[in-house]
Amino acid sequence: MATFNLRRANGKRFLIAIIAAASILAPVGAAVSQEGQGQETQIFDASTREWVPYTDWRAYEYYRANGHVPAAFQRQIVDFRTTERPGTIIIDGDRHYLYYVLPDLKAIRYGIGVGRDGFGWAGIVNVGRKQEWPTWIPPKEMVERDPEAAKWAGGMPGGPDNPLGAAAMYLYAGGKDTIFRIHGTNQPWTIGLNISSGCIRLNNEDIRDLFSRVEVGAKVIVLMQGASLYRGV
Amino acid sequence: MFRQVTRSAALVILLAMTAACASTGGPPPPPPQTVRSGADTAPADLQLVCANAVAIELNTNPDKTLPISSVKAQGESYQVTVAADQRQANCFVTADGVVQSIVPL
Repeated sequence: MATFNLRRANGKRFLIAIIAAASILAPVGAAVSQEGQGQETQIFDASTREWVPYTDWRAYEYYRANGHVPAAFQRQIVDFRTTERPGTIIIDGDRHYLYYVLPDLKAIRYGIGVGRDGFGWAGIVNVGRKQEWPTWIPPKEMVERDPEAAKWAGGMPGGPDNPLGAAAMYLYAGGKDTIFRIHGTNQPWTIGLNISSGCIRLNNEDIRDLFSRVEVGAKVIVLMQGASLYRGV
Repeated sequence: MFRQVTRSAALVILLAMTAACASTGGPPPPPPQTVRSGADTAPADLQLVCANAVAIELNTNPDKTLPISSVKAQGESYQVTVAADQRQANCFVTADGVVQSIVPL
């Protein structure tokens, strides 16, 4: 079990990273009501033997101490009773899981990070296109307030520092880009958190695995309790 | 005198050992999962089982039928609210995936 004592030096770096992460695609989230959000994750604290909120800080400390996210958020094959076709993606934003449906009532389950408070959404969409190492274009508001982001106003090329990570799948509804994506991340500790502006993030190994399986046109069902924005339904 | 002290010490050790054996063995083990959702929403597959059942019951397009909320009901069953076009229904499903009832709203 990770210790939860945060060191100052790491905390400052972490804070900067969190602010940057939360700013990704901010204009997208601005269109979403302030009500929709994923449910909070809890982690068992072995020292107090109590369930406590899995906050940004605890997630960061857990990852720093263990080098990976909790087992529940690691890629695994699970039972999944559904009539949806193999190849369908099911996103459970409340439990922070993404399922890729396999034959024989099985699915691959991946841990995900979802929209923070006010940025949750639900719907039935599809994968409109795929891109490895996508370019990240910071939103206008972020460019205006952050000199670091301003450097990339014309687009940050794909690479290990790019917040969209190793790959992205662009979600469409009715043939139009929703501006929501399923993408990788350069901040793997954020899996299990409500942290994005509506995009679904996986760690880079998982997005590569999912990317290799998913076909353009695949159906994507997004479940989110209390979402106030619905797409494709 | 020495024999009495030795006997008393042995008795104390014996009692301590007995007490230790009779204890509950310390705190209970940690749960098998170390993280969980803070909410009791239905698992995704059960929500979709309900969506499919509601689409059939209300004769709506399955691609426009979406679970919008869920909560744990009695025992191991869940109540899932499903939106289907302009209508809604409550679906009650067991943890085994058996739909018990559908109630249009």
